[in-house]
Parts: sequence; C-alpha cells; structure tokens
Amino acid sequence: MSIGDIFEIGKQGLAAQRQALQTTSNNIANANTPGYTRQRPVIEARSQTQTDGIVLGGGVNVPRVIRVHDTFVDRQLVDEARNYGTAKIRSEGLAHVESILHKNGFELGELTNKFFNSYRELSANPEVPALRAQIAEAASSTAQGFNGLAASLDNMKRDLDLRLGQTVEAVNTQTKELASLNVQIEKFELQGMAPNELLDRRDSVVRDLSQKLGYQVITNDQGHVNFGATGIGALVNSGESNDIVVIRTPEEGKKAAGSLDIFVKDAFGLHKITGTFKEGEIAGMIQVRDEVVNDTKRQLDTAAFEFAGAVNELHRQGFGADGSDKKDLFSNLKTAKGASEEICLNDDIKNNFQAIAAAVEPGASGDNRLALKIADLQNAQLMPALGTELENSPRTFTLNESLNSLVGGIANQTSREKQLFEHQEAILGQLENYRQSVSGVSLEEEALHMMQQQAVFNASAKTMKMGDELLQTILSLKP
Amino acid sequence: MTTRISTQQVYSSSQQHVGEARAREISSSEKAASMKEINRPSDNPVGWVRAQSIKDDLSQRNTIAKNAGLANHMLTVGEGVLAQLHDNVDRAHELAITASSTTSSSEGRNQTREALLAEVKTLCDSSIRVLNTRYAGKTLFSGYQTDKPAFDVSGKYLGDSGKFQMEIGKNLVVPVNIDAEQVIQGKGISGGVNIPEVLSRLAHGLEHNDTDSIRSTLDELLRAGEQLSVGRTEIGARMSEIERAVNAHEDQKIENLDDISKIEEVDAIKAFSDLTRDQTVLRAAIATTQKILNDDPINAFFRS
Repeated sequence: MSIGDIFEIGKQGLAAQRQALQTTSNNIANANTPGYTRQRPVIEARSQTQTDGIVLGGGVNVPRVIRVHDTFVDRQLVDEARNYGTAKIRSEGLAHVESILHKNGFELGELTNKFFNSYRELSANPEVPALRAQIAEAASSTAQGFNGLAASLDNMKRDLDLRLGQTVEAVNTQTKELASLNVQIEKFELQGMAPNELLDRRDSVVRDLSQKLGYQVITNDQGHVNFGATGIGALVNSGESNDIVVIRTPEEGKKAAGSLDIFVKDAFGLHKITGTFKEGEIAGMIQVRDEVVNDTKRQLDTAAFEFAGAVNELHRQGFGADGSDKKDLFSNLKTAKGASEEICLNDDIKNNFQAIAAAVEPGASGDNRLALKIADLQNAQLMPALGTELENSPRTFTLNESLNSLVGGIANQTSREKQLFEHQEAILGQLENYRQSVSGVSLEEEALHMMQQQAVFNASAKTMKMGDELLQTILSLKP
Repeated sequence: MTTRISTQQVYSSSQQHVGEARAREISSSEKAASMKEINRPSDNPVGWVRAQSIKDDLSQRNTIAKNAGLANHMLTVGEGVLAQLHDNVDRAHELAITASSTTSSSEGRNQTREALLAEVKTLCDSSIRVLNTRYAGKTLFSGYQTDKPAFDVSGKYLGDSGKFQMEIGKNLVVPVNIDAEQVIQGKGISGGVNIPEVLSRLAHGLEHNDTDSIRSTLDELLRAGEQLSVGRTEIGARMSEIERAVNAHEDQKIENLDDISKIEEVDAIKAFSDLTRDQTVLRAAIATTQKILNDDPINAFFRS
C-alpha cells in the first residue's frame, strides 16, 4: 500500500459519510411526510488488496440507499384499506340516513298521531266546521312529511351519485399514475438504481386505490403492481390503464332508474362492472345508495300507500258535512312505488273542507261513526313486516309501529356499522402504527446517526491530514 | 428488544389520545346538556323504538282523555236535564191528582182547574225546552240530528235513533247522548211512556175538563218517573265507566312518562360526574402531550 492509498481511503470515508449524512438529512426533512419510508445507506467495506503479501482493506463504499420497510405489513395495509373504505362509507351513509329519519321520521310519527287525533276530535264534535279544517291541515302536513322524507332520501341518492362520479374521476387519475409509476420504477431498477421516492409514491397510490376500488392487487414478475377483478381482467396492467366511467342507466334489481352504473372503457368498448365492486369506497356508496336508501324509500312508499289507501277506503264510504260522498281524502295512489312522493290531499277536499266525511249516513250532523272508524285506524294493523313484499303479506303492524321499526332498523344498522368502522379504523391504526415503528423516521435515531456520521467524517478527514503529514515527512528527508 | 418509536408515532399517538379524550368529553357534555341518554336512535335502537311507541300511545291517550272529559260533561248535562224533567213529571203527577179530584162545574173549582192548566202548560213548555238543551254545539236528545231541536212545541220528536258514541279508551266507546226515543218516548220499553205526549194529554184533559183523560195520566206519570229514573241510572253507570277510563288514562300516563324517563333520561349526578371526569382526562391528555413534546431532549439537540 502506498501513502496515496491512505488519501484514497480517506476520500472514500469522506464520500461515504457525506452520502450517509445526506440520507440522514433527507430522513429528517421527511420526518412528517405522509407515506415516507425511512432510508438507510448500505455501507460496505471495499474489496481487500494484497500488497507485499499482506492483505489490506480497500476502503469503504455506499452501493445503494435502501428503504426500511416490512413488505408483509405494507401488504396488510393495502388489504385492510379495502375493508376500511367500505366500513367508512357505510358508516357515514347510515349515520346520514339516520339523521334524515330521526328528524323527519320523528316528525312524521308526530304528524300521523296528529292526523288520527284530529279525526278523534272530530268524532267528539262532528258538527264543528273548524275541526274539518284541522283535519285537512293535519292530513296535508302528514302528506308533506312523507314528501319531505322522500325528497331528503332522493337528495342523498343524488349526493352519493355525485360522490361516486368524483371518486371514479380520482380513480382514473390514480390508475394512470400507477401505470406511469410502474414504467418509471422499472426503468430505474433496470439501471441498478433504487427509486425509493417513486416506490413510496406507488405504495401510497396503491393504498388509495385499494381503499376506493376494493380490487385485488396483483404484482407480476416484472414487479409491476396491477389492479383487477374477476370478470373484468386488469384495470391497471403494467404501463397500461383502462378508464372507468359512470353512466345513468334504467332500473335494475335494487338500483333505481337514473342512478349511476360503472363501466370500464377498453379497446372493445364499454362493459358494465358495477357488480364487481364488493369492497372499498365505491362498493360502500353503491350499497348505501341501492340497499339502504332505496330500501328505506321503498318502506316509506309502502307506509304512504297503505296509510292513504286505508283512510281513502273508509272515507269513500262516508258523507261530508255538505252531504257529499264517495270522495277520497288523499289523492288516489295507484301503486306503492313513488307513493311517498305523490301522496297529497285530494283536490276536492282541498277546495272544500266540508267534504271531509265523518258520518255513515247523509244529513246527520251528529253522526260520528266514520270519524271513529278512521281514528281507530291508528291502532289497526295496516302494514306488512318490514322488508316483505306488499302483495300477499299479512298485515301485522300499525302505521306508527312500522315507521318506528323503520327508524329503529336503520339505527341498529348505524350502530353496527359504526362499531365495524371503529374496529376497522383500529386495525388500520394498529397496522399504520406498526409500519411507523419500522419505516417511520425517529429524530432521536437520526440525531445519533448524524453524530456518528459526523465523527467518522471528521476522522476520515483526519486520516487524510495524517497522510499529508507522512508525505511531508518523506519529502523533507534529505539524501 | 425495545420497540422502536418513530417521531410521527409520538405526535400521532398524542393526537389520538387527545382526540379520544375530546370525543368522550363531547359525548358526556351532550348528555349533561340534554339530560338524555338517547340523543339519536343509534345510541340505543331498542330503547328508542320503545320510547317512541310509548310517546305514540301517550299522544293518543291525551286526546282520548280529552274526549272522555267532554263525554263526562255531556252526560252530566244530560243527567241534569233528566233530573229537571223528572221534577216536572213529579209535579205534573201531583197536579193530576189534584185535578182529578177537583173536576166539577163550580166556579171556584173552575178557577183552580185553570190555575192547574196554566202550571201544567208551563211544565209542558219547560219540559220541551229542557229536552232541547244544547251542549258544546249539539242537541243532546236528538240522536245524530244534533243541529236540530229534539222536540217541537207540540212534543213531536224531531231527532233520530242515532247513538252518539265517543271513544273513552283504546277500543272502548260509550254512548254519550240520551236515547230520547227510549227514555223520553218510552219506545222499546214494556209499558213505556211518551212523556211529552202524557204531559200534553194532561193539559188537554184540564183544558177540556176531561176527568177520565186526566185520571188516565196518573199511572203513566208515575211510570214516566220510573222510566226517567232508569235513564238516569244508566247515565250514572256510563259516567262511572268514563271515570274508570279517565283514571286508567291517568295511571297509564304516569307509567308512560316514568318509562320514557327511565329509557331516555340520564341520571343527573352520573351525567355531571362523567362530564367532570372526562374534562379532567382531556386536560391531563393535553398537559401530557405538551410535556412530551416540549421536554423532548432531541429538540434541545436540534436547537443547539
């Protein structure tokens, strides 16, 4: 070994520690960066050299900087993000439906009570004209209660469709980015470089996509991360991605007419893929829209239809104070579908409150028999059990029992979904915590690394200084 | 091997602890402010449905109880009418006895008969007037024809046989008008008496000095009194039934309110002690976070 080698090794030491210090400062700078994975320089001793029969060290080398991460945890985070996405949207959606029902449902229960009680008051005083105006008002308010609830649920469906469209747009942006990252990462890796930041970014995009799409992540032999589902193939395949689009379509199954379906756009055209979403935020939105909101609306329609039908059937048999007969109190609803939106006070009644029937015989101002029968509908079993088909189902519940069960059922689901979401959030939090404990930056640790690297850097400089002194000693020798 | 803690973990766990403590404090303060255990149905779905169905029952019972009160008043007024009519009938009976023993042609006796006739006519008019009594906008003795008088001046019945019923309990109705055809006209009763007709006949007998006609009313007026007594007894029975129903409503109302309170309301002492505890925990979590972050020795290193 020559004195020159001392300079070379000293230089390598300086370079290695400078690279290590650069990595440390990069870690410190990114200590708060979401998704950042701490990096470590791989410091290796260079190959030994043999001089004059003696084996000496060849200095130091930093071949690469690696990310410190646990692949198993990263994979679990992606998997759990799917469940988290579903639970988050379902929990939020159900809480929203509950708040609509709690406000309007509660009001609706009060309004139906008020309607039956106003008929009860008319039964006590059938000859008082003002009480017929009170019934008209109560009937109209009850109808508006149904209308308001139906409108709120429709608004919620529109909001969910809007959010679905925005999520699909975000998915398209991210699938394109993922395809691009696959290509860029491969390019760097082929050159023997470790594109750590790009890998971090890809992990983050994959997690986001997993949370939104709920699709399986497939890593191929080239290390490309792809997304796909059974029946549709790959949505992201290496450097290629297919866009998904939302289109309003006719009614199908539980989906209402005009709600959005999801299609994938590939070389062969558009293919409907709504049914492939089983987990993730998109699946959550579709489930809340088609199962929770539409089912609630259907049950509300049934309640409005049966209520108006039962009242009208009795009302048609009676006589008003003006002697009129065969009139409906509410507008005649042909089918249960849309009944909660369409229910309203019959125009004939709206224009003439005295046509409201209380009697079963004409010309008897004190005949209150029909009023008693209509008031008694409050305790009549008009409604089928929730969720059963209207046709041929036994009527086992009163109107208010049915409305209360509707709110109670949603409340039960809300409570369960909230617990599921909290559970899922805890699992994800635990995994993220574990990921942080492996991959997160610790300032204490980095401070120690900095001190250590600075000390070695100084020592390396010192060896060069010492080499210089050795050289000066030799140069000062006189022959 | 010790667990490695990254800097983000320190901040995020502090955030989590403070966030959880804040959420608990908000929940406790919501309960303490509203004094309700159930602020939304999902807080206790089964309890909410139960409370709601009790409230529905309560709302229905309040109106029924109001109607039962009205029914009671109507029957009280009706009973008063029958009592007055009973007095009239008793007085008419007394006058008929007097008249039946004073029907001769002497002038003094004629004057007495005319005085009797005047009083009987007054009793007839008074009876018709009292039978046409209206309460709460309705004639009580005219069946369903509540907007018309029950009898015309001649004593002819103008109403129908309608039984005006009112709901005094859930699935419980009672007739609250008086069946004039039965109680006043004696229809459907063995040996029943048409009271206005008998009074009218008595007046006619006195007017025409028809002793036989006057005597014929004596027994009928006695039976009329009994007929009215039966009617009054029936009203009394209905009023007792209403009273029982109203008492049952009151008892049920108290039970309902008690049940709602048990389901929905919080124990005030527990609510405020929970709130105090959660506020203390929140303050402690914030103080701990400040201590951890400010006293972190690594901060001193990076400041140096």
